[in-house]
Amino acid sequence: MAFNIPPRFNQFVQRVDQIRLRLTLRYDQLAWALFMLVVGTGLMATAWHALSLLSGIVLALLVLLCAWSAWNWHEMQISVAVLLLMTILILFSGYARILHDVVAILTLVLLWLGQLLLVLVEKVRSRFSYQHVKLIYWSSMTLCILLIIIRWLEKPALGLNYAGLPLASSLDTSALILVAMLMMFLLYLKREVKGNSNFLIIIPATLTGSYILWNITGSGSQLMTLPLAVLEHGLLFVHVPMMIIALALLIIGAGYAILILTDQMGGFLANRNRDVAETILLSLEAALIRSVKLALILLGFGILTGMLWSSMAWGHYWVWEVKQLLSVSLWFYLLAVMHLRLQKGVSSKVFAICCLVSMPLLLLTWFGTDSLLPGLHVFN
Amino acid sequence: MYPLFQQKLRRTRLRGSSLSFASVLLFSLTVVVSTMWLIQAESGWLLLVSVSLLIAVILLLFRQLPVMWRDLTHYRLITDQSRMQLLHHHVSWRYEKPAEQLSSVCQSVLARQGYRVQSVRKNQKQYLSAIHGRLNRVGLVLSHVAIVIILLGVSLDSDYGLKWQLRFSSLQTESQDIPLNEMASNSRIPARSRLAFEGLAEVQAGQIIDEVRVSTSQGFLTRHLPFPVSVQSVQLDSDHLLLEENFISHIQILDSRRNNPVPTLLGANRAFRYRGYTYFQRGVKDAGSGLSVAMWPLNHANVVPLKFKTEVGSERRLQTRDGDIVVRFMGLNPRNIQAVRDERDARPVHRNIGPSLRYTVTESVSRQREVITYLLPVKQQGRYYFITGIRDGHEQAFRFIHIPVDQDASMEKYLNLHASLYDQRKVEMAIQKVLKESGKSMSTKERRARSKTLQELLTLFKQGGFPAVDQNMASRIEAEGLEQSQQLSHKLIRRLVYALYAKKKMNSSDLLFFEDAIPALSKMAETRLPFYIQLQDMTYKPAVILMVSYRPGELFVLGGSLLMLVGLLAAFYSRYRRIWMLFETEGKDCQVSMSGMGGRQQMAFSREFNELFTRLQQAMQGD
Repeated sequence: MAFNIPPRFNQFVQRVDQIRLRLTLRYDQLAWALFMLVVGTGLMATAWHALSLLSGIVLALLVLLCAWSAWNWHEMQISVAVLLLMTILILFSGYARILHDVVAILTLVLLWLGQLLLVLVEKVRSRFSYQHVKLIYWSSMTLCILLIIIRWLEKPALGLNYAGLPLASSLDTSALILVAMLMMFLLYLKREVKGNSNFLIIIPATLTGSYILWNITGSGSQLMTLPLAVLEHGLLFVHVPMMIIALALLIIGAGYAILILTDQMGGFLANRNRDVAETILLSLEAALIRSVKLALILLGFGILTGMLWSSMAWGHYWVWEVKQLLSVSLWFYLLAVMHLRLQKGVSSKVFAICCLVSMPLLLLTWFGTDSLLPGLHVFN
Repeated sequence: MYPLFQQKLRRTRLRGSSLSFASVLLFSLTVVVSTMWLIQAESGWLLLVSVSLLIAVILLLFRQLPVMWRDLTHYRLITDQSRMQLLHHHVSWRYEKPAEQLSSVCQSVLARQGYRVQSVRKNQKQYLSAIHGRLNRVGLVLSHVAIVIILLGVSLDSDYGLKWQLRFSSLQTESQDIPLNEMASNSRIPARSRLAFEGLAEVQAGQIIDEVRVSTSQGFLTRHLPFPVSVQSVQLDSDHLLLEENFISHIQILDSRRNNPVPTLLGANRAFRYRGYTYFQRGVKDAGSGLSVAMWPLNHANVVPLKFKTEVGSERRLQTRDGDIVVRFMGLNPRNIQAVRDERDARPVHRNIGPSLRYTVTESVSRQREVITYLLPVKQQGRYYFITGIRDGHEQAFRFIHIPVDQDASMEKYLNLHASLYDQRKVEMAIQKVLKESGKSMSTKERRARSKTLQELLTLFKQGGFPAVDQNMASRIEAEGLEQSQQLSHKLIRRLVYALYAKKKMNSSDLLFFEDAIPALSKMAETRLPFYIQLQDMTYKPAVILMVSYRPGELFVLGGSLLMLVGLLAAFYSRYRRIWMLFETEGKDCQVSMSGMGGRQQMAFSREFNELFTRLQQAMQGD
């Protein structure tokens, strides 16, 4: 029996096509717009019942941001679609714990897969390309964002009781750092001339992902915790992300610094054309300077917001606390290094070494106060 | 010779001052880190670094400000083509158009690119000078000025002024931590003083203070406050559960210049600022809460408790046959948040399980134990218990005893059962009952022997619970039959205690009570406490540890930090560059020369210069 398409449907399709032409949209753009319209409406409708007004607004902004980014950046479309569909799934399902663990494991698996693929692309010259690598890292980053969203929306089911976004534990801050690092790396892969040892830059991200998984499977995340009075403040959502992104930028910057140094020693660029090698070196240096500049600004604003918060929470904007001192030391050091580079014009090799020297201080700032040194920043 | 030398010297000085700045920053980093390790916040090193940094930056500003000002305001026309050619970025080309026309085209192109352009005609030649990114220079100046402002603020907020006064005025510290009103007059800082300070005072609800204690490395001082503070109340914030106690203090600032006091709240993340003074709740301390306790003897058949009223911080000495026992009431916690799980909850839920009392029991110099006891019974797995924890030292965890609650929501039934273990008559009767229930006919000798065994088992149980019984068995019996013997002895003790407990009519709740009472009796015996203290009522009396501070430099530091970041943003994200153009008419043609200068970032400027060159060419052709 032949199936006849109703004429009304044909008319509808033609009408849609006319609108598409009038708006000068491609078919994929139209499909994306329709998908976002349907999924976004579904998500909002779900969120209307499941979340508070503030959470709904935040989610709406997130959806808009995702839609806009994916519109301009096609690699993101699949990731964003998965992200939104899974968010709906979480809101409907009661299996937050399982979903949380599965997403965390998948994030890590993809991270290691990306790391392996990058080595293959850059060192073995396999049939894989940077496109495959980028796709994997986009997926991993999307899943990590999803992990943060799950931890945020499903706090009671996961035994977390933070106010607002989960930012109080080292696990959550590590997840944010991972997202920031992956984003920086993907931006680098998109914008810069690609060197042949980028796998070095992403190693810290892979290790951070491993740290997250190790924590999730441990007992730490299973414990029921209560919020701390001192963390019940709006500046938590300004101060912590700023510091986290700054640290992520510096870690990625250290990756560039390693590449600059190894390239200068003739390691990875030895077999390259001289002009290409020079272009790669210049792009690496530009990326390093960009990372450190932005890190300095964010770290500075992070310290300033921390001082404001400290004056309310600890009675003084400066309490001679270990993390405060270490952050300011790091900031001063980086300022001096940038001063040497931009005003004195020291060579890229010296600049890279100086940036690498900041790494121990950075790690001490990030982890030191949690596990090594006592201070007011320990909230366990 | 001399001008050349002077020029060289100037160059050297400039480099020296800039490098000194960088080195001082590095030096300050080292000192900050070393200060951190030494935990010496008021180290002289820091003062030295701050002063040297201040001098370096002021010198730098002094030398560089005129240069910066010239960069911002002067177009610095280059009228010499040979000088233009000396610049790193230089191009020249030729067009068959009048110089004025080309100049105006270039002006508009440069203006579109964000350059500020100045055009001059001189000696039949057309000159253009363009500046872009003056914000960069503004940013550099701002970030350097900000360092001076921050250091000024830091010095205003530091205690160097106080140290100066202690050294060169009659002000002297008090070495002893004596009450504020007993401080000598030369240890008092007047209210009109403008020096930065940070002082503490413990204030109970209803009290007014007009002075605080300032601690220095040499001793203590009293700082009079210009505005007395009245503490109205100190309360627990019961709106939502938090990990630590969340207190709110209602205070009033009494300012003589105002008709009414200024009321405010202090709490977590809530500091209050009034006329330059900051009021902050550092913490809350027990100021001698009232306690009603009942002391139940544990080694006695007497179940009449000793009831008395006392307060936190006091101690009670008891005389016993084995010597004096001192009970010190350490602290009262008005709220305890615990993750508890009952039959309805799938996962632990945080609940307030009520107040708790902490006290120490000192039986001899070497034996001191810490006990924590909760006022209210706690529901666990559907049943209620009074909970008490005991430990031998701070480093140890509490060993908790769960005492079952009777029908009257009290522990009297349990304590009666405990007392009956020490009532010889009841014990004898219970032994006879157990022997009778065994159903075996036995001789008098055998009965006596069994009775003695049961008596010994009970004595062991009273001395140390089931572990003491097991230990005794282990010392007497071979390993082969040890487990069986231990199980048997446990069974006998349970039967004996049941015989002491059992009534004629036993229902299921009575049996459950007995099941809970057995481990509680064993654990209580393990502790070997001579008595059990039950908290019956309490009146919580908190005192707020109020921190009052005066920091005249706070705005300088915060404002300076913001200024520095704004300056850095401007300096980092705005590139200073200059373009010079010369239009020279040669017959019908016009010779166009263009030079540029883009600071240290040569690569970026090269790209921009080439793009600009292309745009200018396109515009000239298009025109």
